[in-house]
Amino acid sequence: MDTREIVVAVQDVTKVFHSNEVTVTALQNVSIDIHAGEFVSLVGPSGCGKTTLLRIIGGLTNTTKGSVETLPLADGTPRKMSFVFQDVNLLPWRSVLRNVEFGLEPISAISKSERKERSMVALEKVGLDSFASSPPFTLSGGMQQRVGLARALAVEPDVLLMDEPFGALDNFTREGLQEQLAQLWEDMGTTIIFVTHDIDEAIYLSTEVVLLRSNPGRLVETLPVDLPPQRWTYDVRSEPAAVTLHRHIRTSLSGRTYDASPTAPTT
Amino acid sequence: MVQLQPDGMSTIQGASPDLRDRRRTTRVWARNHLPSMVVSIGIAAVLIGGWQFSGRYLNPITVSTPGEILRSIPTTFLHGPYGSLASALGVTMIDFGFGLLGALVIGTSLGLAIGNSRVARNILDPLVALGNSSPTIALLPLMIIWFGFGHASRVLFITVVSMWGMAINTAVGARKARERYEDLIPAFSVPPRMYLTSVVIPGSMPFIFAGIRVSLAHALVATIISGQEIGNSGIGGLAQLYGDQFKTNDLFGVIVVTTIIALVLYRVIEFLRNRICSWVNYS
Repeated sequence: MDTREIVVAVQDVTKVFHSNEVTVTALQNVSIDIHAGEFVSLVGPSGCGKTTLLRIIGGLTNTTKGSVETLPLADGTPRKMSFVFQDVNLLPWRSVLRNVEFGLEPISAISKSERKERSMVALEKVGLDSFASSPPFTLSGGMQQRVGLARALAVEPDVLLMDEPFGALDNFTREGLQEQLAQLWEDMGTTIIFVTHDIDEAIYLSTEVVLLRSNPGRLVETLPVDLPPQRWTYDVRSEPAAVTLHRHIRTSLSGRTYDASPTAPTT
Repeated sequence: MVQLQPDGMSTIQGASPDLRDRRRTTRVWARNHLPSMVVSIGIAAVLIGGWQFSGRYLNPITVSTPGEILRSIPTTFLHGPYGSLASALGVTMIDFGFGLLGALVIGTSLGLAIGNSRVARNILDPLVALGNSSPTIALLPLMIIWFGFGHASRVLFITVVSMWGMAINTAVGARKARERYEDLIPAFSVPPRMYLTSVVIPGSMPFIFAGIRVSLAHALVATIISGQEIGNSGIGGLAQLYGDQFKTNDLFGVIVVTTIIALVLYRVIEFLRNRICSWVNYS
């Protein structure tokens, strides 16, 4: 019996997209519970509905059927969510700092000076406080993505939703950001739901990996990642548990089985 | 707390003061722009020189010459036979200023409404298309019938002619900005008003400026026509009178001065656009 506190309950969600006589079932009868403090990755091939599921959880897209419930905190206050987009969505006419402030502006209880202060703290967390007054387009792709992360962190979310945030970055930048995210997450203890198609990335970051398959998008299985924390301190990929998990995920997603070791071709 | 370092951002090496940088910038600018500037000035010189030269063989009453025009400008400007160009400019600038202002206010509001709201789009879009397609210049007699031969008629005429370009450009920009950043609304619970003022309006600024340029051109034309047709006033009226009297020198003088003023206006708009929309090439 799972005794962990549920943060988001996805119940029997189906999402159908209609466009010019073509009907696509992006998600079919997906149910999943997200637990407090976990780092959950939604993994699957393109078209499996992982981004759609994340958008539904974040309230950016409606469901066709089923429901998503974000449960309040123990004292009854609603949980705050924020979103990190794959294409960052920074406003180019605003400075880095003003972009981070954007997420706080709708909250009328926060004064102007407090808004600025909190945004600077968020920028410090991602290491970009010295770029506060720069226009976003003078920053590299990786740095822009970190501004997007700072904007999401500034609202001090209970649940952080991240949609393939490192998908468009080169390998070196991506690995650097993965490490930074892992450190931030262990530091804050926020629940994170993270969409990716990169199995290594999912294993490195997550405590739980949710596998989805396409046509129609559906949930295959949920796997715990049993690897020690502080994963930036050791080589996760070569850990036997990670290797086994990686193989399991690939097998599970492709439906193919792989032999444990290669066999030499016989002539 | 975990402190993260910014990833590689190179700084410009070498501690030479800005002076060297400035000289370098000037040199680069000269290399890129000087040759083409020389050519365009050359073309203008040949055309004006040719005109001046051919003036010797042509009837001065119908064509005049650049030299004559230049000579006549000071007198035309201060005390022409039908009143000074300066005072005509004053009258015209009032009409033009208020007319354009009206166009900017109405056009921007219409455009923002159309771009920002589906309901407004469905209602107003066909009307704006109608207004933009209608020959608004033909409304001139109607303005006279309704409002007489004064400022009101001319200002209204200028506004009606030049507001459509403003509305259409703003609508395109507002819609693009609205759709581009729409995900931010649910992600950060952004109220509609804040989305309009913080995202849609700043995001449509490049298109608003494009609209201003179009409107400026239309408003200039409308201003001259309204001066000619409504109460023979201002620049348009003056040009008409000089034309009627075959005072070609003075007529050209009016055209030259008006062109220079319009050119300055365009430059000012361009300058403002570059200041306000410096981000536009990067979005």
